[in-house]
Amino acid sequence: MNCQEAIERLPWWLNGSLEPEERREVEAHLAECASCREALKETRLAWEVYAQHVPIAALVAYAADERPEGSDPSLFERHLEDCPQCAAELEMARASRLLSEHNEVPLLVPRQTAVPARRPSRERGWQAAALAAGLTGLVAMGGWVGTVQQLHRSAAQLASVERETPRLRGGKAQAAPAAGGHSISAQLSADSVVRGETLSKPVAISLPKAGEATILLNHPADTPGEHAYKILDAQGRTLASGEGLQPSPLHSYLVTFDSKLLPPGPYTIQLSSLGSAESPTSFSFIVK
Amino acid sequence: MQAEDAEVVDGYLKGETQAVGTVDSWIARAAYPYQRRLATRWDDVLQDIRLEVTRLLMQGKFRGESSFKTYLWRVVSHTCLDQIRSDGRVKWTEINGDDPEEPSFNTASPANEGPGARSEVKDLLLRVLERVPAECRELWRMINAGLSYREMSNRLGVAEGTLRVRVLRCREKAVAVRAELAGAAL
Repeated sequence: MNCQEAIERLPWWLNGSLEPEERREVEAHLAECASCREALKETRLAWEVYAQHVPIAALVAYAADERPEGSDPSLFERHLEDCPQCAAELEMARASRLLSEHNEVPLLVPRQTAVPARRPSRERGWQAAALAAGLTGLVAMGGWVGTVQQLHRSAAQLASVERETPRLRGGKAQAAPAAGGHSISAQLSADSVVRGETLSKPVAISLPKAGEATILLNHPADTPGEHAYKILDAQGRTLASGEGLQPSPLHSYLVTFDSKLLPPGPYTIQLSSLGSAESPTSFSFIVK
Repeated sequence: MQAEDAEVVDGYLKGETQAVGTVDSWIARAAYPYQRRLATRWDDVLQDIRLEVTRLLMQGKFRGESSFKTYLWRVVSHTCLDQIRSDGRVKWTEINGDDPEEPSFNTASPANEGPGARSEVKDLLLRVLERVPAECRELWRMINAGLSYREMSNRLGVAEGTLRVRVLRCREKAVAVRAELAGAAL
């Protein structure tokens, strides 16, 4: 590979998209050629220029109808007119503010499962963002009319989920927590399991010495609907169980039990979706 | 600070179920527009938001200049947009200069969005960006997005060699304008 061929390929060497053989040839050339290493520095300077975007703080300021601090706002505004990524991000921030400040605006559809990214590509990312922003903008401009009844139903469902998330004690669903409720002892994320092997280490937690303990289970990729739980000791014996758990809008579950049931030692909470054939999700922890 | 907000903040810091639930529901509403973009790591992002909210509240950063809900919206938006940008940012390949005889290659993030980036530098780079031709911005957006020159060539209907030369000219243009504006700023 000669200098011209190497220099022409530097942008794609930087973004990591060259074929392995081509990449090795560029690297071999760079290792031997000082002038091409200079060209590489210039390519990085160009990369920095072309990777510029409006700072996040300025986007949030615009979304709050404020003037951004510390820079020339007209510069940002001209960039926003030209850059689909920044325009999409600003629309997301505006939609976020709208939802945050107006409880009467319903969420469109409660999200239940994680959507895997098709491809970790930045371009695909901003195209999706632009599309999402466009849709958000359309909905916002339309005053959330058209599907408003369905949206209100969704919002009502969400509100009822939030209101009725039950506390469980001794295997039965109880009433919603009283005002001022008690403290959450721990938040747990689901164990990371690959081919049947648990990779994550159990979290060490402290429980109150007496009375009720509450654990928050975070499980965003879970299926909707009612869930049941079991608390198992190291020998697999069930110490507590219950049904009727509903996810909160953030896909978390509150499990409340008598703290005396769990002396210091390792335990697992198994969370399963009622009516689903899927294996239960495990949350391992150690009571200190 | 409004009395209602003070009550929620106090309850949240004590871990009271109702206050935590209230804050969680406010976070959920504010974070909703970002959720699809962050779906694959939504759990981590939510945890980051909760930790950030807790850290800020424990440090007394919320002083009640706005409502607590608005304050949460700002925290959520900053955190989510930051995550979206770091997800979409292609890391550039870099030569490890420790051993010039036998360079090893690794990856590092471009420094343009680092916490230490000064606003003057940012302004300068944005000025350079608006001075280069629109075609250059479009070509380099694709490069920054991680597209190969073959993908770009197919997409644009241009021969690979022609495309590489055009991109090279755009690189030279950006470097020249950057030098010109940086010199003028001195």
